[in-house]
Amino acid sequence: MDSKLRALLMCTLMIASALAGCLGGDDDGGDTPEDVLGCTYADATNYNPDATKDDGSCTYDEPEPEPEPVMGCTDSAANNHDAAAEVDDGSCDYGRSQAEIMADYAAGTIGFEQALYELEVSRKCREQGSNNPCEIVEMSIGDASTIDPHDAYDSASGDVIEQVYDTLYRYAGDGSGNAIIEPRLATGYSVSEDGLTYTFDLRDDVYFSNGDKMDASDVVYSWCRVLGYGSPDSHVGWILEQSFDCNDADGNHDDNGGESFTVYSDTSFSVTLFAPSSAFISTIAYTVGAVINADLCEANRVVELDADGNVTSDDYCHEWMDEGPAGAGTNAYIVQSWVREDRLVLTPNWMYWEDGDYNINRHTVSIVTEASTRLLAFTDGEVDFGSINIEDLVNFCYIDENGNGEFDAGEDDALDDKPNVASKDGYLCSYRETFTTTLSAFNLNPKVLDAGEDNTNPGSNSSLVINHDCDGDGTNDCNVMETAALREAISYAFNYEQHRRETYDNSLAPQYGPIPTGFLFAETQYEVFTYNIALAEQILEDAGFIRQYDCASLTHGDAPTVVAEADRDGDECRLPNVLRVMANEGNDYRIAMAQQLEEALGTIGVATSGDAKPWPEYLTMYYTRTWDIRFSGWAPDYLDPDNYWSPFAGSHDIGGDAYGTGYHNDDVDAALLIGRQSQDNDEREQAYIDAFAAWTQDPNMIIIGQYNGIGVKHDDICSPDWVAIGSAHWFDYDKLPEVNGELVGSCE
Amino acid sequence: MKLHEFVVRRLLLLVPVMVGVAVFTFAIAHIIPGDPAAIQCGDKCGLIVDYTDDGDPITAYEANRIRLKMDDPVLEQFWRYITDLAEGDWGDSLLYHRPVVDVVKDAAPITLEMSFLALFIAYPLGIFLGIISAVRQDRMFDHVSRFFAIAFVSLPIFWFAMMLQLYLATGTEHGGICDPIFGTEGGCFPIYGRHDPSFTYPEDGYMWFYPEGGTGFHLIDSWFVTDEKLATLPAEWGSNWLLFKDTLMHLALPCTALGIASAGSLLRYMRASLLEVLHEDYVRTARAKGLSEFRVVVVHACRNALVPIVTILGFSIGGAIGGAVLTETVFAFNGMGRVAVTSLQYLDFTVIMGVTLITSVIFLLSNLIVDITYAIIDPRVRLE
Repeated sequence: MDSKLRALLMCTLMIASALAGCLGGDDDGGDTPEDVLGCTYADATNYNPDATKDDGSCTYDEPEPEPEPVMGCTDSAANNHDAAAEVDDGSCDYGRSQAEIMADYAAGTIGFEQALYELEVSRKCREQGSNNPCEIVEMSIGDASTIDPHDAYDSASGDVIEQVYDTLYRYAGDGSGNAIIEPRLATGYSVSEDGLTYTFDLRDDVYFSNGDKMDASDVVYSWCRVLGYGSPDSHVGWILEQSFDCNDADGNHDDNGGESFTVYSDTSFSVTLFAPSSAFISTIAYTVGAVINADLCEANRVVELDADGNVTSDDYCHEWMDEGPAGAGTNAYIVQSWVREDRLVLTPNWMYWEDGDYNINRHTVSIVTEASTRLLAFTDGEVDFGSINIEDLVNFCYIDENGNGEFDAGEDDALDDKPNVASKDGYLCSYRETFTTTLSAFNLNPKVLDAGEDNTNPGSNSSLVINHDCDGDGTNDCNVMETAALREAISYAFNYEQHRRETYDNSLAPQYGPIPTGFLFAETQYEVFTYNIALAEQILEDAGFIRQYDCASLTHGDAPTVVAEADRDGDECRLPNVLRVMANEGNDYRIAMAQQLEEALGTIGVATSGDAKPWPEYLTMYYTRTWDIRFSGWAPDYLDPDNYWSPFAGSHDIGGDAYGTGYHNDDVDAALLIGRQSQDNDEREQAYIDAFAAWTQDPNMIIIGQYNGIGVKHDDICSPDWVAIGSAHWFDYDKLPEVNGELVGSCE
Repeated sequence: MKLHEFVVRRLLLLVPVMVGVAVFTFAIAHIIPGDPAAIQCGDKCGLIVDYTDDGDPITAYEANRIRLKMDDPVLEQFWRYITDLAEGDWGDSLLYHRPVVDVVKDAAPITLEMSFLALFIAYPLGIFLGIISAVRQDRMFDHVSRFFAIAFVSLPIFWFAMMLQLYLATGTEHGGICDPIFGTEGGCFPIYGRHDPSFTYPEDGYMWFYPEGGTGFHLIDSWFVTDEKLATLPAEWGSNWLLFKDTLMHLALPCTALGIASAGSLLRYMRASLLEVLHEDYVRTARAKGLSEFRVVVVHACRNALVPIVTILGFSIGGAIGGAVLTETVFAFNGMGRVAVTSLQYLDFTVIMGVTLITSVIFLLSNLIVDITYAIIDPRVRLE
């Protein structure tokens, strides 16, 4: 029964389905009367919601035209800023030009405040970007000691001073690695026929940052302040003191120049020197020659008098000048704030005389002594410059060994071919030779400490070591170090190439005489001394330094035991004493060099002693002259060969011998005096050729090399030509804005 | 003895102690090898910078010794130092070119602010973890926390500080882990410094907007900057909160580095102290009374277990100030630690002595406070 019912139900469903299919309309045919024709597209303007079939009649509105962007000046800092503007059309008005404003200020048409305001509007950096393109943040290892240019002798102070104060001339790079001198506050100078009187012409458009006009009397006052104040902290004043004084007819100091100076007008003055000096322009280009605001200095000068009216103290406004107060200088920046050993901030001096707008509105120097922090902050982009250590440079630079212009694996293993340094993405690496020389000096008058004296007390008594017969009369009258042949031999025992390449890991460039490469007249020198131990031994032999002393008997100053000729076995020592080779603990370079020299000298029978000394003992040895060979260094003060030759190789008679070694060579002195005083470049060149020739016959030091290195910066920083002397001038820097991850513009 | 008598007595005792410290530091400064006159002129000491009335040359080195009066008899130098000190004149710094009092006055709040905040992190963290560790003795948490406690105590602060910089203050491309988690750019915290490099922009004067005569603690001073001054600041620092936040963000990593070591040792102390107390009879009694374990531990046991921890506070302050030397160097804070190191490098004796003196005072005062607190919280202790 159930199966019958199910079969009946199935049949009924099938029949019903078939009938339902037959009841539908025929779509294959034409329009049926039920179709409603019309526009069936809802976005059409004539859409017919009742239409069931589209008849192709749809019409549409014309598309709305894209609204035109509002053009105008979008910079809120501009005078004609248009808040509704969406696209900048280049019409921004930043006020009048610098020249127009300064002309009005000079004419008295506008006041200082108005001029300052207009200059800021006209000159300030306005670039927009995610990298703060108008600011530079720098990390430095050491802080300035003072911003008073007349008592500052360290490079950290100089780096700030050169932003705040101007000199008549300054050092610059010529683009090919050489240093030149370029005019700043001076437009030119002339020299009298006797070479003694320099007459300067000054710019007429220079104002201090407080709006006071700079004139010749400011220059005279500034230079005489150097002499009057005496730079008690730094002693930098010697650079000017060697050339002139500011005394009146009675020999008293005159802040306004005395007899040496004559002011002809606001823009002209002359100074008469003690003696002709071809280095004079270079000396006044050093920061100690900076021009300060005389009126402000006088207003802030603290002079204390006793009951009789005598001056008991005079700070020559140093306390006021110490932190670079506003109004004191004429250069591009002023010191906005300075927290010593922490942070220094420079902001523009809108009155700055040089043409052009500011690319950098703010420069911050943070003092960070920890190398890893500097590295991390620089890498992470928190700072623009980071004083990166040599060993960390591989993070940013490489040597393109295969020359394909790309960084390939392993090319940053060693940056030994520094001149060919290349940059990794995001950074700019560049090779830089400095003027800092490393050398080893010879002491011609070595001493020994007297019995019982303390080897850490610089005031200890000591006595000369007389152990050689220099004049051949049969009695000892000098020290062996006075013998040129011995010093020459030592010079050949030093392995220059090894130390430049290995000890210094290629951070020393060759230097053959006192003048470093890139300096004036460096080409007057050539390679003479190389490592040649056989030659060194032969020179000693020829000079009569034969193996005759019992090495075990040698001390620094006592008489040695001479081995009888028949008993000599060839292991005897050549010199009557042990040479003390000085290096200080903590300086691995000097220690390594001292060790090599000692070993080399030992092989040719010259006894040495040279444990690395703790710094206090090292200094004590220096000041008590109880040394024979001393590793040291020298950085330039001013851009003139005399600043290299005279302190090293000039004798005390011509103001040299800075190390107190007693070296004196008449031929060298004579040539150096010509080089120092002549105004003729050819004559100077010949003088330095002569000096070098005389010196190589009678060397008083081993000149090892000049430091070189690699500078690294982010690739958004544009900088002027590198110069190995003086400081960076931030007014000449630019920082490209970064927009949407891309740098806009180029440093070219 | 009454409390105020005790305090006055201890304060009076400071005087001979300070004299002793002054004598000691003066002696140390003159015994340690080194010559400030030579440090000042370096390789250029041999330069002739002046001449005597007789025409004899004076080198830069000799001029320095004359200026620093180094050739005076030591006793004369000491007497001058002590009398000047008594008159409030701590001398002038060779390095900073300022009175030492001003140098110390600027540096001390930086170190103290960092140290106090570090302890503020260390104490709650160390105590809390110590309690948990004791309560869960010999369980996994206890083992793990003790491992970290030892690790934090053992790790050199400078290494830990550098790791914090690397992972929390840099972007992902340099190893930082913050950016993907918190959506920051270039890490969660600044790498160095007490404030953002652009902080003083655009007005003149360092932190000129902070109230004159403020505490020097910028976490506090930031709340007292007037609306008038705030109005002149850029928007990113234009409120008390934003100034406070900038200071706090810059303090976060150094304080963590400094505090974590203290937290490790505190954890160990707290755990040991609490374990000892938990075995006392009165704790057993409390449990027998049916008190909840939470109440037994927190109210009854912890209170007594904390007493020895207070004693450690004095040493912790001293330890934090000592640790600040490294922390300040890594994070470029110009506090007393960094001032002391820099002064030692340049043999700036007056500053070395000034920093030593003020550190001694802080250490003595903090121990005085600890003693008083100890007497207050533990009635068994007498102020005698």
